[in-house]
Amino acid sequence: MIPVLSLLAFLGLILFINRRQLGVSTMADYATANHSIGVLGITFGFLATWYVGAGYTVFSGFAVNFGMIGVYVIPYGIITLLVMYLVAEKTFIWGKKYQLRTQSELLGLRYRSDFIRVLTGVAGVALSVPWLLMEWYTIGYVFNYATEGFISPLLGMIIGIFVVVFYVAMGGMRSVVMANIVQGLYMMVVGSAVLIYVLYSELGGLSAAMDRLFYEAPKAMTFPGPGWDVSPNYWTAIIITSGLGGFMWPWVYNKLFAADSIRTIKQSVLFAPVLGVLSFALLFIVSIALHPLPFAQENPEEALFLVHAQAGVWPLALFAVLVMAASLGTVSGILNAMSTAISGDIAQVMNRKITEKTALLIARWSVVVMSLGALVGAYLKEGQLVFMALMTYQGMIVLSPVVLLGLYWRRANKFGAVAGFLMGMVVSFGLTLTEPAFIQTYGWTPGVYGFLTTLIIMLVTGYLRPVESHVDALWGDIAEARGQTRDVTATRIS
Amino acid sequence: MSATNMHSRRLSAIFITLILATTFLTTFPPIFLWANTIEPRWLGLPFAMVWHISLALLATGFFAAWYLFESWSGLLDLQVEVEAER
Repeated sequence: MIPVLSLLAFLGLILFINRRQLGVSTMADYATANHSIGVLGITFGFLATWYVGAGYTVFSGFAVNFGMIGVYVIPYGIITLLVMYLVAEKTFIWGKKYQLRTQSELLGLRYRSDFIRVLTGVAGVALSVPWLLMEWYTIGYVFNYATEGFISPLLGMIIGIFVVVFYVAMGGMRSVVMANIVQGLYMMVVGSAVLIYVLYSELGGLSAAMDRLFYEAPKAMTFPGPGWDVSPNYWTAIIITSGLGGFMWPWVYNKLFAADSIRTIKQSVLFAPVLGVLSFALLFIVSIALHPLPFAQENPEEALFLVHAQAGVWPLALFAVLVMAASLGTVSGILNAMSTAISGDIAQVMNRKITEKTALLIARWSVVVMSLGALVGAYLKEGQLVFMALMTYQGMIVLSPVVLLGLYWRRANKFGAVAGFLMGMVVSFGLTLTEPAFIQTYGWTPGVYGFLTTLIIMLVTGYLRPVESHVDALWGDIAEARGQTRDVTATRIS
Repeated sequence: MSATNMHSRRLSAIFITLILATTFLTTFPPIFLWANTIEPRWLGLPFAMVWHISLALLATGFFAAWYLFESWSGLLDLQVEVEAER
């Protein structure tokens, strides 16, 4: 009873803290909170969106099975944050100057192409779907497990959907960020505390847990882990693809448009890695420590739930809320980004006469329709969700040259961006689906080949064509903003 | 390009290089394989894990130094005029 009451109380808390955010009346407010979010919101917005609920089931199961390889998340997080730091300035300047709302709109502006705006908008929505399905499924699973089967996964999903759809559709980015702050704080403070408690109460503490691992399964303490023979290139590939792709998700990237200043974004890059590294490390240390235990070997994806249940009803309740918080944070970010993309990057581009009021209505109904569709998909296809979600990273990394070269290289043009993106996707998904032998033997994941394809096409077309005429004006905007910066500095000194 | 701008760009390049160096040390196969050992252990953790966590914390330190440099240089006080109403 305590776990289910805790879950319901947490959902109630999310609705309560959002009670003043539900009156959003413009599309700009819905999509970006009118560029008003401070450092707390951006930091926890990133963390809560980035941390998926499946991290405590699927990904921890990966670490339970194979040990140290699960730690790849830590160096990959550093690459993702470096990407965030690098794209922050230009994204913020163009975003504020031209009142941009999405990553696709930014690319449409940079390459002066509606086609690339729609193309990346559709790709972003399509690649996000498996994550949405997987997180819905996780929410249903949490309810089911925490109530010992009393609440079915379907009913659990319906309860979660009702709450998230309500606050995302009515409050947009403001509600998402407000909820993310609560979810993020819970994950960092209570979540970390309960993991440490279980590490000491059930596993005998850090040293004892690692000693047991050392004597019973030493292979789990190094790459690639027990029962798995894979090239070291695989380690390099998963870190680079995840690191470059990690910040390309529209539901993560779009948070940049919500920030109130460039200082806010960069401050959040300071806090996010420390919090992320410490909590990811804790999650994976506990998961790896579970490796020698028979119950964990039998059900690796349920191992964290099982060990918390062993620790007592309160640790189980707190852990269930932790997984729920992580799932809600991701789901709300995805729904907000997808609905904004459908309304702004697809509907408004196809029909320029759509008013802002109608666009807001489309966004809100998109949240409802996508959630109901995802509910059906998650309930019917749960077995394939993990595979599909991991496969989407192979597509997301292909977007990174389009974004990074677009922001840093004047010669990058729309022909290279479109051709590179499409060819990169074909290569990446083609190799993923056909699985030729060299993928296994050499170790690079398909996304690396897709990334290189996009990069080469963009570089070649960049040198074959002259710099596009509108680019100078965009670079001028950056110089102008920086020039005003110098004025601020000069004023401060004088 | 002004001397101040050149100076700030050079320092940014240094910070990017330092952060990428930590990533290189965690991903480049010969170095990664060198660190992929159990001993010496610290608090029971294998050296492989300590290596990755330490380098991530080092990168965090570089981020902090980079931020402080940009903040001190006034690079974070951007003034952006909104172009036009939608």
